[in-house]
Amino acid sequence: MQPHLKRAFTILALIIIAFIFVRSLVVPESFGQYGWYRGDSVKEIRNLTVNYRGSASCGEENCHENIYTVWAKDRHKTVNCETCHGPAQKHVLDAREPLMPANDSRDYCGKCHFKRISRPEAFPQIDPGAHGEDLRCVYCHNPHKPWFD
Amino acid sequence: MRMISFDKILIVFLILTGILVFLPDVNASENSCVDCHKTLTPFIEEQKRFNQIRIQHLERNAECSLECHEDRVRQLATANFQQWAESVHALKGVTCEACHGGDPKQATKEKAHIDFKNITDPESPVYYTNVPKTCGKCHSQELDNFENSTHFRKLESLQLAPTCTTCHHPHTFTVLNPEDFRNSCGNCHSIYKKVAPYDIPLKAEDMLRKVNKLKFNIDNARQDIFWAKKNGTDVAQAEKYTDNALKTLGELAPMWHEFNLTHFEDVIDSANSEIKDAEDLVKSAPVPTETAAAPGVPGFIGITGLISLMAVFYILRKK
Repeated sequence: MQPHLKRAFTILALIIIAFIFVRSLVVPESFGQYGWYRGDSVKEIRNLTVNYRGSASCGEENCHENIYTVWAKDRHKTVNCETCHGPAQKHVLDAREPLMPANDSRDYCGKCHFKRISRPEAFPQIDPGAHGEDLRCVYCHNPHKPWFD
Repeated sequence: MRMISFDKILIVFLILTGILVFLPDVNASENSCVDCHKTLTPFIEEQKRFNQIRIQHLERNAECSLECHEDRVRQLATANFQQWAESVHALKGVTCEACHGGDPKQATKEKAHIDFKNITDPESPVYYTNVPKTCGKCHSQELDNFENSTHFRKLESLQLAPTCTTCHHPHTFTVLNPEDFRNSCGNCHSIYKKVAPYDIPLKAEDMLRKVNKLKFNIDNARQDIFWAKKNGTDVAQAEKYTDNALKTLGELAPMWHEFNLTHFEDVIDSANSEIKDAEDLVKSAPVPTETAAAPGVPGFIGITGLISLMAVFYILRKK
């Protein structure tokens, strides 16, 4: 075999050995246990803390029944409590744990309700420059029971 | 010849202006009673539907009349009795004459109706501006507070302000749901009608939320006191604080009718601070929680070691 080929094969062999060595160090043991991913990650993800609780638990147990029934009947029923009020798991488990103040900024409402050409025309949208004098929407509109004139 | 044509033009012009001035308003629903009353009148579901029909009539320039809807009006009058029959007033034996006047003990209709005045008569006890005095016959605490309010002063001077029945719908006499504040109070308190501060409905709603929070805090404090007492702590002072806060809580409902949110908030805050004092007395110091050590990053040291090892080999070979 010619010497330049010999050198090339040696380098290739070295690279392959280095790859196998590195792989044996880097790839975690549980890789491939269930599929093309780390088996332990399933356990880790399962152990992550749950922050959200879902809207139903707000209306339960005689806590926020009034506001819940108002919301559940009205047009914002597709927007869940925690969308604006933030994650509530801790508060549900211990009522003394207070919730963060709800996000009622004008821009937050605008995520859905500022005029966009791509939105269906029937969807309630406003031109933020022409409507509401740049005030927070909640001064006039009740987010639990939005009404339109 | 020239003068005459000028005169003609002038006459035609004047006639046209006259027509324009006396032309009836095209849009009848504009500035009609409905503007305010679609959300201000007492509504059961049935009446709401009725009102919707009324608005549609007005938009098409058709006046609704008693001649067309006599049976409907009669039905609504019965609805008033129905609403009263299911109300707390009926339960407590407050019958029609308590508010409307008249004497139900008389044998004949004429005699029974001697003192009775129609609701549109300014002398009637249920005339708009007389309502507070009529309700105040029984609800004196609420009336005292209401008499201190801007609403009452405006009602006296302008004859234009909410009265008791604006929020407590007549015949059912329910309490207005806070979720409707922005809709109902917003008839005046809005940025478009410059008659009153626009942020009041939201503030009022926040205030009622604060009342609920106060109730919640009092409950918690009493629970804590109960357990502290079981553990042998002296809770006399803490109990005094919660009793005071409970008393304040009881006074909040009549005080609401003052419609002075700053004062209302101050009272809630002082009750809340009393609860906090009570909690401080019975609560032990919180136990500091341990923080978990950050988990190490596996594999990182192995990779860097290997790379440096390879680098050394590479340099040696080159030499």
